[in-house]
Amino acid sequence: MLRSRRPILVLVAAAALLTVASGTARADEFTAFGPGGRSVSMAGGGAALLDDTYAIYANPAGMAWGTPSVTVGFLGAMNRLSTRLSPRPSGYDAPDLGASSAIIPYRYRISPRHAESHAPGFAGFTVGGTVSLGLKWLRFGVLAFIPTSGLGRQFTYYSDEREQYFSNSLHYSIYGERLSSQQTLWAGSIRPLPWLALGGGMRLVMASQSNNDVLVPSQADNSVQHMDMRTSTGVDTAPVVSIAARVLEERLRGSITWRGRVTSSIRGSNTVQINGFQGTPQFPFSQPMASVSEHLPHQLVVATAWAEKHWKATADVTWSQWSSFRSDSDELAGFHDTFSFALGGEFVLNKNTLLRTGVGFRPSPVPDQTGRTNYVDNSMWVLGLGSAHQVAIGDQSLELALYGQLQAAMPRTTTKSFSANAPNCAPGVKTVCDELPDDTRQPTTGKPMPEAIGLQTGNPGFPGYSSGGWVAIGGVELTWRYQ
Amino acid sequence: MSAKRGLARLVGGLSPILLIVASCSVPTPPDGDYPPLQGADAGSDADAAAADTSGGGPLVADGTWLMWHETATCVEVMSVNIEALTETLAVVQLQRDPGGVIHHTYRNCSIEQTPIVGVATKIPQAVVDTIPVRDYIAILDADAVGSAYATQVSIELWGVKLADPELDVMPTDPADPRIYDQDNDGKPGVTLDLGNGQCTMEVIQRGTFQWKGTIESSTRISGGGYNLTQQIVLHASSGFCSSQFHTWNPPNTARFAIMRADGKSGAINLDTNQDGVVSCEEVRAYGSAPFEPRKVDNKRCQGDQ
Repeated sequence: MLRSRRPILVLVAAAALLTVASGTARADEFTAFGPGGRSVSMAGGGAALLDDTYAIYANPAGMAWGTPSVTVGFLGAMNRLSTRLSPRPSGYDAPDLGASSAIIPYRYRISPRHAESHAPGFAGFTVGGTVSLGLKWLRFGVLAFIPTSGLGRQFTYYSDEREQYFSNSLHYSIYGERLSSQQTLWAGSIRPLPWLALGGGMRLVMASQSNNDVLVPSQADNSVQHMDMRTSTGVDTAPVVSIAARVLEERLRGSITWRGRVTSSIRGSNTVQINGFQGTPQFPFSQPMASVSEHLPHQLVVATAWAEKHWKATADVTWSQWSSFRSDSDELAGFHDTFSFALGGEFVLNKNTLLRTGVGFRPSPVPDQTGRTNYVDNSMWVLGLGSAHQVAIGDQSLELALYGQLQAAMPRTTTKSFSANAPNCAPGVKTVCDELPDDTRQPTTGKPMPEAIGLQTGNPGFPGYSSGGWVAIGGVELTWRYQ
Repeated sequence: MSAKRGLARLVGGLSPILLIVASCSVPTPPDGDYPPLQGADAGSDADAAAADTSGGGPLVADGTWLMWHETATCVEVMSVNIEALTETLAVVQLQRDPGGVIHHTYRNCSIEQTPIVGVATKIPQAVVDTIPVRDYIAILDADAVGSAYATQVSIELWGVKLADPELDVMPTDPADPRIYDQDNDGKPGVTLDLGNGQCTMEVIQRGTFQWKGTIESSTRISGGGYNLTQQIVLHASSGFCSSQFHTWNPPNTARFAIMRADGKSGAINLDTNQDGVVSCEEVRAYGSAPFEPRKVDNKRCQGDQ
């Protein structure tokens, strides 16, 4: 009992620290690649086998069969997913009328439109552990992924023509910066029957509220502003629950896991006073703000495994409700729900060494982007490989795991649908849209502008693009099973 | 041999992975369904120069002419110097006296200004129509193409009457008796509209002009000149209008062209309704575009103030 108290204190302290500093779980590298070396090696599957720290994410009930442990690991990803943009045809820029231009002329874009752009890689540490409180049928655990790029990073991009004024490029919806953000989970499990376990826990993501009062003392110099900030950072939570069973002398194993939807967001408003507007309805005026930096969908994972003495085989099916996905600008993205699959195997090479491998497929939830938006994503073939070497130290053990995973993107080509009469850009418009309405008039003279007739767009994804490539991750993990 | 065999086995073992990686390369992007369009993207620069159908004979001044001029004003906003251009169209009656001096009777028809940081200043037609007609003279050193043309200094006052229009200090008190309601809107001076109704400002203004050019043909004179604009804001409703910006007129930027418009001497005839008078409506219908107004160039405001 005494031996287990120190890890308990460590875990409680770690859980408290990680909850306070949870930042944002905007990236879901666990969903993309699998939690921990064992799952990553088996193509993101193996939920029915997991019984250690990483079961908190994949199958909390599984912890009830595992030996209490502490784990620490490091993983890094080489991301070679790329987007190539089609050349822009001539004649679709808004007219450059200098200061009279109705919209900022295209030649003034801050970022050039590069022909090819790459998704970023990432690296980070995993840390976690489980405790039993001395009870065979009870486990508690905490798990965190801490990216080396820092905590609480938040990136947002517009998915349509608005992005031309910022990065002026396209971004991967799931495999972009979202992969390099922090994850924090905790869970508990009980085993009421020798063959049945129940588990439940929480995922934590950051939800910020920011309401600011801004004063611009001179319109002649808008670079000077004074601000009172009122920003509060809380957490949004989502449940992770599962039920697991082991029958036939624990050879047949199964689990069902539900992970709830959770959204990391920044909401609020700026109340702005500009000197000179006093006495008008614009004094003060309000700038509402709503950004979604991460949206993790409802997921249901059904997993099964067959375990023999020298080998184990797993099969996982995951349903993801991507249809509820909200874009960075808090708009429904129009994605499809998906079913993804993973098959894995674990083989005992000798007394102390295991070999793991797996293959899987993750269909893209992103429909063809023939209209206004440019969400980039590809269906992925997944290949995992890994090994584990165990060393016994008395009745405890140390395990060193090495693992890797390759995800190969199915090449994809997107062509914007042609429309001879593109609608004006407005909320709710789905097709490629005209940023300069045809009836726009010269701002100084009020005369019609023939240059405004037809489609004018600087949409970064216009008139099309292609995407593909691969992403590979590799990692090392050290686990101490202390009881 | 064993090393080669080992290498071959390694390559063979990795071949499925290499095959996968090779097959997932990014495809060539599509050309797209939108065809390239004719013409330049950057606005309409295709307007023809002002019509000049005359020959190279001597200039005959008497008659109705259209005058276009373009003046620049620099505005310092957020420590950045921004240029604004003012395009003016006017009807000018020319009459040459026996001594060779050409008398001008000048009446404004339209005044348009480019926006400053996206905020357009609209000079209402009621203001333009009530700017007093002014008279000034010019001299020609000869009548032939290439001969020099120069005007005297001419002063244009908005909303104020001064004993010495050129040198009197401009009043700032709206109650000053020299200030009058030029545009008949019940407010002193003239009322300008900024930002499409965002705010209004009541001002008086003194414009100083002097033009020097050459005879291009028997129906056209063009060149550059000097201008200075002094504006006093008597009252502003709110917002942008109340901001006090530092302004100045950059040197060597003013341009003008004066074009015969009554159909004589082979000139264009803007009297489209054939009532015998070239009206401001007909001049406005002709517009500034044939004179090829230039685009705003903030570099012109980086020099001396």
